[in-house]
Amino acid sequence: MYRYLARQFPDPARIFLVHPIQLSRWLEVAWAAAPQVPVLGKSPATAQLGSTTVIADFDVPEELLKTLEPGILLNDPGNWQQTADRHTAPLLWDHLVYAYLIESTGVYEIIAKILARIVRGETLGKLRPETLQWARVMEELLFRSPPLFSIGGVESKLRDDDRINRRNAYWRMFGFDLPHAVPGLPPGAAPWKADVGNGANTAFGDRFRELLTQVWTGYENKINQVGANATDAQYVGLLAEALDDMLGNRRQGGLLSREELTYSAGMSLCDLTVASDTPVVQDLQATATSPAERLAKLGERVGVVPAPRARELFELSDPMSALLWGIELGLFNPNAAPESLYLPDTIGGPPTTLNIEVNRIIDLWQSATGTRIKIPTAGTGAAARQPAQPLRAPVPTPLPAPVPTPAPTAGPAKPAFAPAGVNGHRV
Amino acid sequence: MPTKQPAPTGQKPEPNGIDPALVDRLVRALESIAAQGQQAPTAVTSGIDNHDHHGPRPDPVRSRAARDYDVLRGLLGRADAPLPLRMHRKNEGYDTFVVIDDPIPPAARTAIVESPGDGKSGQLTEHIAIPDNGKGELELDEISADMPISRVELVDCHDALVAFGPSLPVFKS
Repeated sequence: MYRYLARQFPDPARIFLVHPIQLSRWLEVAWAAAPQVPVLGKSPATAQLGSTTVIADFDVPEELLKTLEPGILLNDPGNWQQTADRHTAPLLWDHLVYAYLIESTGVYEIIAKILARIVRGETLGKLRPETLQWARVMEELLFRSPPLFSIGGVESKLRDDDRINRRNAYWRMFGFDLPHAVPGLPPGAAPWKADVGNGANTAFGDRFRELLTQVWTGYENKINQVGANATDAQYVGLLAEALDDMLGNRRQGGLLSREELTYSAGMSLCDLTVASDTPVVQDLQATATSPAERLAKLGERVGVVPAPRARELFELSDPMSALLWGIELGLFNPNAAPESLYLPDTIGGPPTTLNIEVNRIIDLWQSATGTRIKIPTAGTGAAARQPAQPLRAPVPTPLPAPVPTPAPTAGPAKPAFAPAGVNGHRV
Repeated sequence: MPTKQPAPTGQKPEPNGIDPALVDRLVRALESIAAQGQQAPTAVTSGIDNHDHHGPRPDPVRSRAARDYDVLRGLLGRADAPLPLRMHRKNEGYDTFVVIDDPIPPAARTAIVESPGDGKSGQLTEHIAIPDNGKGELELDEISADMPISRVELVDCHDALVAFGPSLPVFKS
């Protein structure tokens, strides 16, 4: 969410110059504006959240909302005006998978370490006022209890650790653990799995991988009109529907909506920190050409290694968010258009944005997880072809060799993005 | 003096081993390709749409899903996606309008307004030329004030989506 607001500023990094209470209030008005989302697919508006009334059920009444407007001024971010534009065009927050992928890079733990250094001492050298404002915003919005009665109030005495709360949501929705341990927890402890029971989508990873494999089969055969063609659009639709049902089961009645908004908004602040050469990146001499490289340099300053495949995780986060919302909206179910995942609008026509993004997800997913998806289906025996590309996506610099460490979590589930033995750990 | 060449000898030609089913599929595929090449220009669907459509007609179901995905990217605030715009409804006498509050992208030429309609009308879609008076007011013809609006799309002269609006409830004065 905050990335949309940041893009309204002449320089997105100026969002960190806005007072944290204004940013917190903006999240409140953005939640309240969600029913304006246009109808997509055949579902009623906001049905993908598990309830068509979830927004109204939890929003602040409009008259009360007006008592303290966000009042954000794009040309004067340090100021406030009651009558200022709310900057809430029809928007939907990012899917929870966005928060999972961003947090999997290790950016949250690296920022935590940087903030700890900033607020406790002077070991990072001289920092500019803009960097200290960034630190204030991040500490207030990510590392302390949210304002009372706010939509982001998903932390309490019942669930007092945000790191564990987020892992609980990831576990329930995707059956995934983060690839790094929670600082301070003994190895093997996984309190986020307590009280979950059967309410965890542990089959999500397998179903999703199968969907990508089937989509690739369709993509590979999209102009094949004479040879054997293993494409089965209805099966693609069934897989999409299974994922839709699986995720929908976790959202019944609007469950996890507030958590999803809060976690994806929080992670978007981490994402924005390394999306460009922001003041903190400059002050810590971490300027680079991609978020993953900036993150690696920031990690070096505080002795934390990010995920080895951080580059793919950053690049996956946006298209995965859109694709999973599309699946939850039923756009690719058997009675809709499953073949739109791999076929263009016209036979032989240019690929749609959807085709391009899905193909990109396949490349990045197989590179990030180490599981090959692009397996050639045409040809058998001696005629079988070798994969046309290597498993891993190219990177500008060789990755550091992973240092073996004990498994960070207990239970049968593994992080989706192994190997990440050093991710989030001090070296 | 020409010499008589011996008659060619050797094995008899093999009987045709091509699978008839494969031949049938090949012929149908070639016919399909030829038909695509000869297909007449697609009929212009809107009176205000004055550009030419050539080539095969897009699959409506796939097009709709791809368009939905584009809107979804815009809803997520992606930098390279169609722009989300704020809009509201207005009534003047018997006339009902959708008013675009944000600046309209210069490339936008046509607005497509969709409504689920009511029990009698069924789903309604109106194509409205973007007025060039800078007001951004779209006068509705069939969609009445007591019908909700599910979606508003702004497309350019090539029917590419450049912006979209919110869903708007039934108008209450």
